[in-house]
Amino acid sequence: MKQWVVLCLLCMLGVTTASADDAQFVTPLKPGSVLRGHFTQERSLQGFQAPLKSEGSFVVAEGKGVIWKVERPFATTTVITPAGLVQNAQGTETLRLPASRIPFIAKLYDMLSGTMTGELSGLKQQFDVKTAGTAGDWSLQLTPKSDQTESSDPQNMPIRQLDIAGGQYVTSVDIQRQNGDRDLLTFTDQAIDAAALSADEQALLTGAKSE
Amino acid sequence: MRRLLAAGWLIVLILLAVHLVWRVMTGVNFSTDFLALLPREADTPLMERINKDVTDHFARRMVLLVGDRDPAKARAAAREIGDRLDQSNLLTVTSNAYGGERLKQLGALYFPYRRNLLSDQDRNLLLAGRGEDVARNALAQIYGFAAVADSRLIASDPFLLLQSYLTHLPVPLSRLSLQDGFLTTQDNGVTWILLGGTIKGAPFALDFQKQLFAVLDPAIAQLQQQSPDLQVRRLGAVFFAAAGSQIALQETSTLGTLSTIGSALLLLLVFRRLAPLWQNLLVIGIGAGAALSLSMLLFEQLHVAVLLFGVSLIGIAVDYGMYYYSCLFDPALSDPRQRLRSISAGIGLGYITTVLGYAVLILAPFPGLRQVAIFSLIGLSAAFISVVLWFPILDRNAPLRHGHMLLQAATVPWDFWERPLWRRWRYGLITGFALIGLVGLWRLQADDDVRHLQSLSGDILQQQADIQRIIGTVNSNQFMLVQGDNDEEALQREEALAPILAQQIKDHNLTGYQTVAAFLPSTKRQRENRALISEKLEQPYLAQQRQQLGLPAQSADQDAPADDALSLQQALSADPANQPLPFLRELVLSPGLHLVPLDGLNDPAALRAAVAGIPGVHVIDPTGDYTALFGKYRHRAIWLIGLSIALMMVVLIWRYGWQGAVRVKAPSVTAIIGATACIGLLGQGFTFFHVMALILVQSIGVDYAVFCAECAHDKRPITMLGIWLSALCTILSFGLLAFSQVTAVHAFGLTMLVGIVFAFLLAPLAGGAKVKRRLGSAGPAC
Repeated sequence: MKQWVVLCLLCMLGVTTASADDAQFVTPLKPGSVLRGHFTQERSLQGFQAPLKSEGSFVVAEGKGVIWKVERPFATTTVITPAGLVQNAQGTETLRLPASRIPFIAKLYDMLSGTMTGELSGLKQQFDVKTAGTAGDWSLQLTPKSDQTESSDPQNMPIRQLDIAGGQYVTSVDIQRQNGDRDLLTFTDQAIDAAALSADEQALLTGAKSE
Repeated sequence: MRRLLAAGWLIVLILLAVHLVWRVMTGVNFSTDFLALLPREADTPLMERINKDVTDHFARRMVLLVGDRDPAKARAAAREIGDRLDQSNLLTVTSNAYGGERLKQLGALYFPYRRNLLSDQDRNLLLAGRGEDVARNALAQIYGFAAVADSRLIASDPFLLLQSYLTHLPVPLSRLSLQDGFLTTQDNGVTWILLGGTIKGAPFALDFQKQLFAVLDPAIAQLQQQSPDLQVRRLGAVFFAAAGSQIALQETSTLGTLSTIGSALLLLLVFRRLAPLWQNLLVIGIGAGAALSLSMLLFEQLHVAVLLFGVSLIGIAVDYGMYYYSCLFDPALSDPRQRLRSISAGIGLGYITTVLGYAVLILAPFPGLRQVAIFSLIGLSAAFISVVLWFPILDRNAPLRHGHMLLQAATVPWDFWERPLWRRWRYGLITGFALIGLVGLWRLQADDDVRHLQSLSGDILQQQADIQRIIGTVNSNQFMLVQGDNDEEALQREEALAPILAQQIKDHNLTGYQTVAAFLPSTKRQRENRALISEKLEQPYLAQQRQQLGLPAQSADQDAPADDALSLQQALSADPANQPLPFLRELVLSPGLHLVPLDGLNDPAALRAAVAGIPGVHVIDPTGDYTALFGKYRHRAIWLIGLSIALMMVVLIWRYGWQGAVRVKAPSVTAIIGATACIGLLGQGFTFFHVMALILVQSIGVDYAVFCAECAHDKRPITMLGIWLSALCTILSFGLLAFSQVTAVHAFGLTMLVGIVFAFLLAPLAGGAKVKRRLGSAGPAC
């Protein structure tokens, strides 16, 4: 669960990589503006015959939330707002998590799937951050600090390495886990759209709030 | 003879004083639990015991929220406060926190049984034969944005059933997460840390409250000096009780002081002498002291409310002395014995009727009110005896000559009722009051809700509201008990309850609940789930699902699911220090008896009706039970008023005959009706405490009427002056209670205030009653 928070923030070109040094590469989104783009996600899971590929589009509305639309292999829409997370598949709601339950669920996912633990602001306490490139073409490499990997239990730090690259926008996020699983996200066709959200998008974002 | 009696009385009082001093020296223990003033009732002794145990347990819970904008400071403060509480040994810190360790244990407990566990959503889909939806939901999550399940998990549970079950577990305090070992949440930029525990003492015991606050308050104050931003919110019966007893004790001293100073000033101004003042104070002191001393002998533990009423006792005890000293203004009575004789019939009858009025309170089946009744009777009797035996000895005064104006002024009410000049005004006033009174009576509404009686300061309610907002729940004292022959039956009954409770939440009659079965389905339910998963999900869709995900046809052996059912014993027998479900221990009271705490229940009756079909389920609503009791006893108290009127009428008819008795009783009865109408006009809910005050109004009202009836025509000014002084003193003590913040005390005081004014103004109407029979040797007064 923390993962989507991380991605969410990264997508928002957040300064959330925890350091002002790293933030020089990225321009924060202005309030009220909307970032649109296309993504592909490739999940390489240990013991699976082929990577699980999905692709679709996303909308980041600063201050309102994120809409993540998987178009292939089948349509799934995930809407994340401050009120929580709602997932729809083929017109049926498949998951609804109010924000109030997210701390527990976040912990649950830490246990279940072992994403990163600890506060986002504490990233640097857990990771060594290497930066490279220029403002137009930069990359960040996050590796767990040595005392984290020496920890007897890999559950506590399931991430082996995190690579983030981008120019004006984040273009790719590569998450490698201790157990060999790997998620690769690439973002393309990104543009800041000054126009307001469409009525459908607006409805999705507000619909996620009401319960 | 008289001197001998007076000396004997002195010895009795000295003994009582010695006892009192000894008790104070050895430590007085006052109870402050207002609900302890009420009797507890329940269906069966077993249920009563459980009810009491659970209620006591709930009452011992305590929550502190420590907040600061700086998370590090919040953690430091929480650590400091937690350490000090820990060292104080006043509190057992409980933690239902879900950190890494406990979650791992939770996973370890459930994982082997993943084919027995279904979330409600998945179960309902499978029951409806929509297995493909379950499969599709899992795929949506695996491919979707919140793609968090890792390869091992997906391989062993391709439908993500366990993930779904865990996600929907109603874990308490799920809004908080564990950070650096503290249950933490953020609200408006403030980091809040929860410290919870069970106090080791009784929440209503004053000395325990003192000990707790002696640790807590300095710790918080010190930390706030270091970080002015630091905030602490408190919740728990102990804080409510402390606020209540603080108000009560504070008021006892402020209202008591005001009443004493007011009465003293009044006496000094009227008599221009110290003797009436100090002798009356002496009488009051004797009354209160004797009452306290004897009550401590009679009762194990005195309630702080009894003390509060003890203050009020002053108002009545002073009546006799006041009436006696008003005789100083009579030039015809130069000798103390003459003075006593002139009032003995009045105060004698007054004493008897008041005793009857108070004695009726003993019939009220409330332990605290019995204490109050007996406390008052003792104090009243001691004061009465002191006046009769000592005043003639202590009184060295010659008749006073400065009272012309006072006496004239005192007779105004009497004149008002008798002078033809006021005839029109009288009828106008009576009609007006009658009309307003009718409106008041018409508007009168009973209100027995015990919650309205808790006069909680806005501050403590605000703290409760804050905590509710931040952590999403507050401890409520409502719960259900689910009984079965064994745990399995109890679990099955809870499973039968679940849809009903879900409907209650939908209907906004409930905000939440906890059952053991939500964490540990019955064996029967686990078998059903296993069959459902096998028939409706795995047989039709497993191969397809694995193919879609690109999984090999067989899963690894190491994660093979268990064949048997997960049992409650398994969950409970885990190492107590590392319980994956620590709160289950609190929910399982004994084998087959489970607790179901309820959150935000609005209408217990509706819930009771809804669950009536399931055997072994009891809805327990202590607050509601007390409300019902208050209603019951309000009715009973109204009957007690009728009873005391009847008892008094027997005495009055004996003395004055039928007609005279009606004349003497009419003013106090009118006062009761007038005060009741006034409560209605003010829009206050008519409570048990109003009714209790009415009982006193009529006792005192009868006193005044009797003084008037016993009084010869030429002594009227003297008598009226005595009644004036009595009424003023009564208002100064009882009437002041109307300013109390304790709702019950306020209700009592207000009723007294209005009732006494009416009783005083109407008392001269009794003047027309003729004495038919005499009291022993005492002649008709004056």
